Amino acid sequence: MTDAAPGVLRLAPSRPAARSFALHAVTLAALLAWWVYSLFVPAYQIPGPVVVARRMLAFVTDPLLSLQLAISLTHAVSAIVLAFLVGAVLAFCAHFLPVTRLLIDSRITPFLNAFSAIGWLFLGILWFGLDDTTVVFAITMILIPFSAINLRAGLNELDGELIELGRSLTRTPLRRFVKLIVPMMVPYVFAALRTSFGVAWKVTLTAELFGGNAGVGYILNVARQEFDTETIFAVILFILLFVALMDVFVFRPLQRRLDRRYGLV
Amino acid sequence: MSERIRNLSAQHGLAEGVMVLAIIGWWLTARGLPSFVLPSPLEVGNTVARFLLDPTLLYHLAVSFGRVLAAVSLAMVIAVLLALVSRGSPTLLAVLEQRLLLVLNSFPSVGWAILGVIWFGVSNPTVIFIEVLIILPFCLTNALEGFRNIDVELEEMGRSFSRNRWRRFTRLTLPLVMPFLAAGLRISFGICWKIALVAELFGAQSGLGYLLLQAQANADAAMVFACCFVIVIVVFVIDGFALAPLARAYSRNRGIA
Repeated sequence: MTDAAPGVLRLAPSRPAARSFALHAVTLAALLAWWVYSLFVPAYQIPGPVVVARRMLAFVTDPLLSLQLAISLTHAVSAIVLAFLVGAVLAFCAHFLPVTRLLIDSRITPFLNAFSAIGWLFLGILWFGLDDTTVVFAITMILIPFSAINLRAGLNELDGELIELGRSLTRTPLRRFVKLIVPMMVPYVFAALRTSFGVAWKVTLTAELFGGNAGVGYILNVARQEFDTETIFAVILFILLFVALMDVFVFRPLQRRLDRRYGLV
Repeated sequence: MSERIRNLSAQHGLAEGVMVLAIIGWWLTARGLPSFVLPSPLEVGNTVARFLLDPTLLYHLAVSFGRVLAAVSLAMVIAVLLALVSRGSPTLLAVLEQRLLLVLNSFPSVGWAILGVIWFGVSNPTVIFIEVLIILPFCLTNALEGFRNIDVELEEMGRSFSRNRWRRFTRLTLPLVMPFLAAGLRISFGICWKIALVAELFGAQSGLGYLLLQAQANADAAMVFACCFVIVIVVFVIDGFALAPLARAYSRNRGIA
């Protein structure tokens, strides 16, 4: 037993280090495999990492191209905000006006949830033509059910006893809402926004590709028609890096803090 | 009790009433608009009905359905295999979660669609490849979560009952992760129809995605509407009659609602 103890002690702190070493090794190995493979395959199929990195650098330094990145971000964020507002209206209606519950919970939300993204996109093109409205419309319609479902779950889980207590402490419904319901909803609001953010980026490029005249998806469309695989790789890597970094540095730390504060909800 | 029934019938009245009103409103709006902007409900209904009668349309629907089925099963098998392999090693699990899952989650779906066509050309396997990659993160998240939630003590107990690994797997492990797999199946089936259909816009000459693209190019709004409604119907029917009962059956087995 006494012999094993130092060994355990030595192992325990080194394990996380070993794990992060393995993680970086995997990243490096993937890059290396990409590079080696790109040597044997025509460049229009898989361009090498160096060429793609150079193209990405051109993106950052060219103000026209970074403008397109900014446009895509605006599309995604405005759709997330719009969808959150509509989803919130649906969820609160269903909660506070019981008459509308069946209509919202088993008619509107499931219908929106089953409607195809490409369907909204093509309808948007028919109605609004190729522009920003179409793009934002399509992303918003896809995101609404995600917001509505998350917020509805939060309202369902509201602690009835705490509300009772609130009712005995104040008679103003507005005050109860702001001081009690809003704080209890924070984890679900966060979940709604986090899911929306992930899904938004999955559909934003599609929407811009078919229905837009600006944004990264539009660049992707031009590159696709010219078989400019370097640009396609560069655009995908940009989105990948942006979404992954947001997840690692914004959403995960926030989630950890929320978990600590609210317990395991 | 009668209060509850009255309440419920009020809810039903409102729900059905709003639906009828929406259709009437649609019909009235459509009367003043050309049919390439907003076709009337009747026109769309006719086109939806054609999906049941016209063999060409039925073929496109069947092709899409087959691809979605193949993609969902394939993605689920890959996810379960990856989750199984990573069970013994925390390092591998970390690699899966912090590298593979992170990349798959952040990858734009249209990126897979374009790359798939550049790499493999226009074909059935290409579409399935694209769809699998789009839904894999959803399957993998659920599979990993399922295996993480397995009670270690139950596994211990299983080991004392049988030495046969396969038997332990089918009798103990699989039923324990099944609720999570069923949830994953439901989510990825929905996502496959809603988002992964983009694969058929690029990589196919058949299927609902192809029909949608054709309809949009011909400004055939009735067909665009009809395709959307057919997708909604398919998702509703399969989810309601196959996937939701599956999820319920396994969650009852576990004794949690």
